Amino acid sequence: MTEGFLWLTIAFYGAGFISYVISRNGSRRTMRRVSTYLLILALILHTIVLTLRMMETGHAPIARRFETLLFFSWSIAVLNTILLFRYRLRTTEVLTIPVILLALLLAAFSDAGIYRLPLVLNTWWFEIHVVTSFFAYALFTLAAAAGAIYLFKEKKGASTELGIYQNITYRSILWGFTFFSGSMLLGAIWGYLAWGSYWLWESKSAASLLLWFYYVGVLHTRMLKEWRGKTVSVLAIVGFGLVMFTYLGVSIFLKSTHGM
Amino acid sequence: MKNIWKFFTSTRLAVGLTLLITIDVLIGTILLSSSSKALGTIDRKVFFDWLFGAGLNNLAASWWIFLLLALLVLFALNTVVCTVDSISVMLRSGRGAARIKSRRILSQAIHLGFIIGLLGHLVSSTSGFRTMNNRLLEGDSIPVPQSSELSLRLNKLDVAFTNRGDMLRMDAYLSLLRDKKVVRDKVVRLNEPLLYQGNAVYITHHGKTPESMKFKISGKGAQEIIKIKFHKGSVTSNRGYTFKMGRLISDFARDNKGEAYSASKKLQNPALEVKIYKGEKFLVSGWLLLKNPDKTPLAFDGLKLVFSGLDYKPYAVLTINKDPGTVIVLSGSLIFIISLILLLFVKGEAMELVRRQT
Ligand code: HEM
Repeated sequence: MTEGFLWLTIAFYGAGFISYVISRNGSRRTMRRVSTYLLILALILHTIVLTLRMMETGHAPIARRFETLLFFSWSIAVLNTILLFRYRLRTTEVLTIPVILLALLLAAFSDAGIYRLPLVLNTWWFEIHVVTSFFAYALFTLAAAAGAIYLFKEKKGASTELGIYQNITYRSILWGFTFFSGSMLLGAIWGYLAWGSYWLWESKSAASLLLWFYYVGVLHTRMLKEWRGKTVSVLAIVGFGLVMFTYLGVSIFLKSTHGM
Repeated sequence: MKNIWKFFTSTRLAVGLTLLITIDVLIGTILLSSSSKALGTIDRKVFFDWLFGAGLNNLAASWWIFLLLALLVLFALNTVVCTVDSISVMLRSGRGAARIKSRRILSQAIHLGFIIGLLGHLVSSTSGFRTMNNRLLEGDSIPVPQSSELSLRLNKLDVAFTNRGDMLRMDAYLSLLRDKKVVRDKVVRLNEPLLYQGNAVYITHHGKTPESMKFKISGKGAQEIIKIKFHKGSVTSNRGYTFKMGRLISDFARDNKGEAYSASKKLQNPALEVKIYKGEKFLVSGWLLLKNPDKTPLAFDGLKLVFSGLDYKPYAVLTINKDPGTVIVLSGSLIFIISLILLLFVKGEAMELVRRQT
């Protein structure tokens, strides 16, 4: 049943995305409203998929790649919804919804088998450690999307809106960095309780460390006038690449004891 | 001196260093996975012990850690100098809106948290100890490493599996003793170590090891089971007979004089020699074939001794660590994260993800 709902979710995000893109060419208000409803419905379906999965497995949907892909894309969709309702801002969806769709398609072709959770993962530390890290990834994704739109608009000569995108980039990085630091602290506490050390030298932890330092650097570029704007936007996009490396690259291409 | 100070107040330096650290650790991430042989032992020891031992001998795989160390030293100096500089500017100017002030204070608290955390990590990397594979049999005790008075006793081990072989629980009922008096009882399981005065005890796996050989004595209308522990080698039964283990032969055979010998090195036909005494008086000795126990009972005093298998005893494998830096790292991290969260909220409009459109 989860699989059926998953494909339905993909269909709704796809339809919502297409109608949004159409509505941007000219001011077609009805079409824009349709796209809003479609995307909200997609998020509701997405939440149902996660809930079903939780009921099937008996744990938070964050333990295997299939589940983390669902959760990562869900975090981005939640963020989009916050932007929509609180700030009436949708432009970043042009880039974030394709990321959601890609993640969901990847999930649809991943192993969705149900496995017993290894004993060591059976703790709240693990759950909040992973949940906070995926919210951070989602915020870094949003930062990259805003960065790309900034570069695009700058090239087209628009100047009035540039400030908005710069703000989104900077602030979602600050929020993302906070979530990510929290996640690393929670992971460290869990590691201390589970393995006897708050830090282990293995590739997933190392990748998280590099991501953390990278965003420390990006946060400080704002202090330098000449690096604001273009440089920060480029760094945010490169950051998304590093997020993907940390999240998927390490477990797909490298050996890590960290799993997922 | 002034120039050096100025050099380290540079934000450009800070950003440059973070980018260098990023690239260095990116390479490290790949090396950690591709050189698992050279780097695989890194977490077994206190960090600097490893780094200046095995690390130096495997520079092809560990060079990036040395580079990281150097970059971190520069970055830490950079952060300290920036923080001191900002605080002195703040104290001198003393003016400015409350919101800007609290933002500045929080930024500096974030820097301070990082420095404290890093110092704690330095302590962790140089002091304390790590020990793995401490095997503790049920009922036995072992001393806590580097402590003259503390010891650990395993009272009970409770391990259970599902039908499919997945582990359901691995609970070690441990007592921590100081000079033979219990100071702490704790069920140690995954994610739940025993923590005591900086010592941390973890269970990593479990097993069973043969502890004694069991024998059945029958005859004269009664039956008795006796166990000879390997480390003792003898036991006295309720009826006053003493049984002693003799030689052990892997592939039992007898030569033409009737002498026992081993026909090969293989464990093909293992046999144990048992000697039986009544009080001080030797009664009889004989060979028991361990794979065919019923065929070779040993008769004595109208009774019969038959080998009836091994007795196993469960054991827990423990990791025992002490890391005095942990508390400092935790304190720094908490200062860091709490200030960071507060910063999101005192920054006024920055607590919003986006500037609100009016
Ligand atoms: C690991 C080390 C560091 C971390 C985690 C860190 C983190 C932060 C964070 C989260 C902020 C707040 C950002 C904001 O308000 O938007 C900040 C502000 C700042 N940091 Fe750092 N930083 C570090 C090292 C440095 C270094 C080496 C310098 C020196 C160049 C520096 C200079 C500053 C300055 C000038 C501010 C702005 C303070 C203000 O608002 O008045 N930081 N830092």
